[in-house]
Amino acid sequence: MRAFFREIWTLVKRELGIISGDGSIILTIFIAPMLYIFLLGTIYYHKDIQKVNLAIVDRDHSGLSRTYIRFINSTQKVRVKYMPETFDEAKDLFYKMDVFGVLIIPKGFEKDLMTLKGSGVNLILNNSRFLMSNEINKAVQKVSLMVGAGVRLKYFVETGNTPRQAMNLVMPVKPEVSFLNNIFSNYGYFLLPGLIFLIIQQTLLIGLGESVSLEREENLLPSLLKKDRPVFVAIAGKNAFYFVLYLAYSLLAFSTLFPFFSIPVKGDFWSLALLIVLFVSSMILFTNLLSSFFKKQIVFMEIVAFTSYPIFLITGYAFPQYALPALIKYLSYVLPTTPFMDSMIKISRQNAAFTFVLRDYLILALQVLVFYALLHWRWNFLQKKTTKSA
Amino acid sequence: MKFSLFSVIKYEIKRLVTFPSSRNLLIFIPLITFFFLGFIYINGVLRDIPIAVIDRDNTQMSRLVTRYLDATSMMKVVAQPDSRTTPEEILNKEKAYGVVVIPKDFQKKILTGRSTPLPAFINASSILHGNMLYATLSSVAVTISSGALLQRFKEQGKSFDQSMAMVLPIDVHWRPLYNPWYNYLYYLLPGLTTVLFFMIVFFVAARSLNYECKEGDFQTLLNKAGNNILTLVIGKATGIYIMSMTVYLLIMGIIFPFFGIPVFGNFWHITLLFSVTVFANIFLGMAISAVVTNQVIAMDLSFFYNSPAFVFSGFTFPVFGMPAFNAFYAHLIPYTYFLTGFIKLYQMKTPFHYVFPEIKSLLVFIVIGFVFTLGGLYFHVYKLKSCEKL
Repeated sequence: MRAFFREIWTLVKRELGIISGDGSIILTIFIAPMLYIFLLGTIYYHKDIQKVNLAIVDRDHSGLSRTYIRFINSTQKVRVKYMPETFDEAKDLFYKMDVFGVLIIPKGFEKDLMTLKGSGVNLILNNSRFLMSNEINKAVQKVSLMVGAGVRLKYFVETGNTPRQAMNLVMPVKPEVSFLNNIFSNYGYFLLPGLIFLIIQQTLLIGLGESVSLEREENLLPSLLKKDRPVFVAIAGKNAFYFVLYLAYSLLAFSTLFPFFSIPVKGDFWSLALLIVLFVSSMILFTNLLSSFFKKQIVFMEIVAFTSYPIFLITGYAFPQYALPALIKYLSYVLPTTPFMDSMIKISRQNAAFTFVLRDYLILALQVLVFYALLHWRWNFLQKKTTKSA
Repeated sequence: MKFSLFSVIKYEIKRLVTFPSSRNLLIFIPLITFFFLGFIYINGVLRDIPIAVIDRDNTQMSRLVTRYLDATSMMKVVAQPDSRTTPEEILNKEKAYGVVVIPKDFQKKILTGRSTPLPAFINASSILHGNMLYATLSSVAVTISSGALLQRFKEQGKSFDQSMAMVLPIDVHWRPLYNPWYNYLYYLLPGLTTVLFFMIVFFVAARSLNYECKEGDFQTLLNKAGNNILTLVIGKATGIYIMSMTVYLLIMGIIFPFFGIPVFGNFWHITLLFSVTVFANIFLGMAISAVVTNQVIAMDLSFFYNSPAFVFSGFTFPVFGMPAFNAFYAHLIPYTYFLTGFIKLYQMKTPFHYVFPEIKSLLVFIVIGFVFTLGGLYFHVYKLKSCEKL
């Protein structure tokens, strides 16, 4: 046992030598995670968009139209930035993308509402970016319903109902929507956990992958895959440092980064710890396997650099799994990211019981076994090849 | 200079076609990645988001509400659990993203002119579902209310038009332009393919000069350029531009038509915008290549600079919603300007003068990149005299 640990320690020192001699690996595993998390994480520091610009063409110029505009302007996420006189002026602002919506209040707006004829407003939205158009639409619809309810309230009171009765009659069914697990439905809360772990994963994939491909490029494999060294020991020794480092990064994410970005962590520590161990192990084995097919460090980097978006998008984090084509859905379960992201959110945010994430844990455990078996076979092959050529 | 320039262009094109790394970047990566990204969103529009309904009223009207919820294109009632189960448990257990609770006496209250709440719980861990369910549930509640109000006004002897004017005093005619279907394929694929395209261009350029020092024959190339650095830089940039535009044609000529992405704008305007952005990326990439002679480090820097471009561009989260530092950083990336211009041209079909501000900013990047490329090369070639010394 002692000899085993001595051998592991020798390989850890060897790996530290490779890392310290390669500026690219240093940049990727030590600088990039912190830099990226700071740069990308702070984008969502305000958690949500503050004010989306709206232009309103008021053709009525009445007291009620001005009140209506004031109500819209006082909503949390919409600002009435321009009040152009003509539609052409509004179109110009719309084309410049200074505003993401144009609301047109028709002439006779106040008169029609006061005489209970009803009135229509036109809302034109730039739907090229959903987040902004959704906020404007929500705000205008909400204010319009509120003003409409006010008109009905007045009518019911005038037709002999008590104010209390009138209030009941105004809106027979009142929706009471509660957002669970992200009470303000904030974009930052939603995206940041996934983004932080994507950064952690991708820097591990690139950094460790560069180290493995460098072994082949600089013909260092004979010293790693010695004939008398069991493949298991070589795998453990080569990866021990990365395992500890990325375990630390992942724990740091829950203990420091999430609180820094005011993201609550509800789940049980040991469930999360086990999840991280399985995820990091699976990711390390997968990276070793993949990168062992590359003979040049730079080629590995060039190709893997383009995997971040596809990997993130098929996990079901940003776009639901049930909407993915079947083939892509199954493919996504070959990667550790999919079961990890799913259970990470369920545990840390929804405080889900272990039974609800058991399937994800089992998938990760299965991945560890399969990736290890494949890696063992692959390194065994490389060991034989290396010995033969030596 | 004329013949030397053609000679360098020819050399560069030949190098890009035969060099495995640039072949990977310019042929295989775009083909595989762009099609893969397209297939992720092939279903386009989100439909049938799973929800659960707890019916505590069990009346004709409550069953009607359940059917009504199920009949919307956005929601699908996948479970009607026991009324003692909590919404949190249901969200975890039933794989539902929302739970609607129809309270006891729902029908009785509506029929006797008393308002009743319609509580709903949405799992906002996924903001996509949160927004969509919120909008649909609100609209369902408004429709049910409107039905009840219409009935009441009809009983009071009002005509249909008069009743409608009371039910919906302000009718919002909303028109979401450019992507009225809320299609995720149309929304995300153009952004994802273009951001990766410019990353590819940058990567190719980032190895174009330092490669010559390490693996190519810089002196022969310099001789081809008539010992003129300006000819060398322009010739290389033109060669990369020609090859990059084949990927552009792949995007506009094959990927977009294949996935049915509508392009409304003028093809030549779009091509001009792409060309300016391609040159901005080429010169910035070449500047890195001229200054950083280690190819792997140059790739690292290119990766760090480019990989967050999509998030910083304001595509999913607007630049004006970011803290000042992040918004500043967003403006240091050419893609931020390109994206705004691209949306204006291809989707909004604006006249070309609306993209002049973006073109001007992109020209600044070209000038900066060009100056640094010339400066870096001049320093390395004439001051250090030899490429090998780098």
